[in-house]
Amino acid sequence: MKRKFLWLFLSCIMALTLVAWSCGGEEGEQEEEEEEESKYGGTLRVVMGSDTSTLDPAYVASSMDYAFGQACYDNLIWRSHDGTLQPMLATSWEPNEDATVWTLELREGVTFHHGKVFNADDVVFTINRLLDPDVGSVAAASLASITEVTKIDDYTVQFETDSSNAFLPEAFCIVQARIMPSDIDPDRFDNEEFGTGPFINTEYLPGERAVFERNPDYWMEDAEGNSLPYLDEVIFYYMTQPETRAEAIKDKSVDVYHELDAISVDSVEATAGVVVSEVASGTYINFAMIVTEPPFDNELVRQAVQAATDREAILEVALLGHGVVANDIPIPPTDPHSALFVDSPAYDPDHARDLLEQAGVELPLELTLHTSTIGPGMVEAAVALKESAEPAGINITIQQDPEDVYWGSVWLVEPFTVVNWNYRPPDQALSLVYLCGTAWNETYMCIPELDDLIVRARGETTLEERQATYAEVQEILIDDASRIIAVFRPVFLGLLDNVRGVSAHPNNWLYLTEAWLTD
Amino acid sequence: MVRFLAVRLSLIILTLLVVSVIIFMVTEVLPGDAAQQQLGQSATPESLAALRASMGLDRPAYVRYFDWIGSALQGDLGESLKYKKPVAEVIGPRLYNSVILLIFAFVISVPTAVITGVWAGVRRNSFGDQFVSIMSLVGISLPEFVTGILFIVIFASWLDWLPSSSILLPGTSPLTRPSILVLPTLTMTGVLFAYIMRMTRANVIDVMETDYVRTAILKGLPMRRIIFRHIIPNAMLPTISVIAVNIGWMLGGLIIVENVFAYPGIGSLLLVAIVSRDVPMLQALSLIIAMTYAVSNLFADLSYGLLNPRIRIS
Repeated sequence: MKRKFLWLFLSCIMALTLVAWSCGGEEGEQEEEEEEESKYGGTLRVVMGSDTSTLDPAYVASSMDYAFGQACYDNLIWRSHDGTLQPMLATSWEPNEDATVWTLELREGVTFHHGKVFNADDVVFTINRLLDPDVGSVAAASLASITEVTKIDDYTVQFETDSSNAFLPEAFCIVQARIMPSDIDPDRFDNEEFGTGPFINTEYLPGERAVFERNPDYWMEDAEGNSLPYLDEVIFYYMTQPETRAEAIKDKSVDVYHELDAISVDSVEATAGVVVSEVASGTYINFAMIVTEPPFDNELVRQAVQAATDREAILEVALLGHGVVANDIPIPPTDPHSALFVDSPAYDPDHARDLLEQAGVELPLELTLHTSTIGPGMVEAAVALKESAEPAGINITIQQDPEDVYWGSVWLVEPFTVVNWNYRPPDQALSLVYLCGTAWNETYMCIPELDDLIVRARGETTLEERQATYAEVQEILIDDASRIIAVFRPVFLGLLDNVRGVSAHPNNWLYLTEAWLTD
Repeated sequence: MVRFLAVRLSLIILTLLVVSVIIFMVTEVLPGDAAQQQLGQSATPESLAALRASMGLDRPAYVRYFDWIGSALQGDLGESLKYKKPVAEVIGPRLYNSVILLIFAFVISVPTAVITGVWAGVRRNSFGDQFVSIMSLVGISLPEFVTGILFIVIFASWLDWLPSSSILLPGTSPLTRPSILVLPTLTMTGVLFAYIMRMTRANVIDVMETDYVRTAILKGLPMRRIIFRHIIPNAMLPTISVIAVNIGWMLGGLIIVENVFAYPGIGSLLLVAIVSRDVPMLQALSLIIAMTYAVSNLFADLSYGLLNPRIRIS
């Protein structure tokens, strides 16, 4: 008797769930945007899945922190959606002949939210603060080539570098390099903002929400000369669960879902009134093999793992086909520097087997691959590698570690790990990971010839020269095979269809200065 | 009575002290610290050292503990390592939200569970009893994260009656937008209702088989009088301790329910505190939870005396 009711109940639940799912599948309409008149006013609600930790740009570490900084601060220079550098608080930047001294002209007539007039003192203060080892900002690594910051006059600043650096302007775009006022006690930066940006922070409830109101005195104007921003108010919400975030945009409780997960893209896109903005990016998933640990101290073993990697399968499993295959160098195909790149060795389990035999390894080779749910697709990528390596005689055991210990005690420690890297411009992407002895050199590789090439490219002032140098870099990286960069992940943004002027940014940044809402 | 209360209250204080030591020790054993968690993948040895120094994490563990307990005893819970704000300021509004959720869940589930339990116990093996028993078994076996998501799929996505997440606009509280309370409350109620209902039903059945109830029936007392005078007071005794224990369970459920519905309370904050190794915030939250647990047990003991004249509190 009891059992009968239980079955009846369970089948009811299953039927309900099935109906619910099948009803979710209405086709979303993606209309072509016509030329529309931008409108002022309105509140934009944004949801994201990473929590904030500070308002101080020097210490920002999460996407939420970055979005806050973008809303209330300005950089000297900003990298726009198409990759071009856009003048912000700096109006122009000129190198001397060998790119060792850079002169920046600054924007006049900009005021901070607390009333101070922006000038060269603030730039000198900001950059020196980021470089100060006692401050301990991670930006110090990107700005390390700067040896001297000099105020020439109130609106001109000069930067001297230790060697030629054609990429210095790129370094001013990083999220930590927001310009701070020089007249405020830095202890206050944690919980209050003192920016020049398009929005002013009015409420800050970490772990829940933050509210920003329009800055009526913002300096930027749109193409017609109207003052920006258009929105009256932006509210950022933090939600831990991806399911909750997806549901929130589906039932229109929020207008923007920043950092939409690949796994939710299809269901969000299928909802009427919601669109997905996608952009190719240089964010990538890779496998790191520490070259000082056996069996990876043998180059042939690393090359065997490389040959046993089915990049297409990883793309399909880890990113559900959204994205592109990568070829062991952290510069995406969308970057102009990638022109001369070649494909990494194709998936060939038999060749991998031969390499292992040459290396004198007894088959099957047993490996433990560490991974975590901390980055999207990391666990799936590990599973796909395990499957593709098996025919090559490589047995991979997947060890899934908790998110809160992964960066601290697994990555850089365990010999074989899955890693997720954010997009960085070419020189940063290479310098931070491959130079001998650098902090994030996750495979402990050291090839002096490679270091020379990376440093040489910085001093090369034409794109053609750098393309040729980076092609040589790629050749070395493919042969070394200690970092198998398998796929580039696109960036997704979920949007209600009445949101204009917001789209996915390759750096995963959220730019709302030109956002507006139709009726 | 006064003596009893004094002893119990001092025991509670002792318990809280022990809890604070244990929580501190556990966070010491966990790999990684607040500085490591904040920097994550972008940690470099230099930035880690600077951040540790600014958070005071470079001091020995016992110094940090006594520093914390010293100011905590003076009412200063310290500053959150993750949010760089006073802990009390972060927890305050969140605690208010969680208490609202807890009160709703409690007020809805306890009376209905007790009434249903008595009703089912008295009509043992009837169709209604069978149905309620099966429902409660389902309620117990489905964890909150499953029921929560199921409710979201049914009531938010499919029927579109209720919001799927507890988004609060600036300057509002859950009470100004009660619709966001419905699904979290319903999810919290599920397990609580099922436990209390089953316990009440079992106790009612036990009591109904006692000699004094049989005597009451045989001497022709009206059923209503038997239920209210004889069955309920006796069946409630063990039920009350189940309710008290379940308040602890509800606090655990808060963590899951608040995360599933993005409800801004102390449950979701607790998870943040653990993941970010924010020891001052974790300490404050654990003490709040431990205290609620201890106090609800104290109330349970006190109410025994009211229900059963044979138990005298001294």
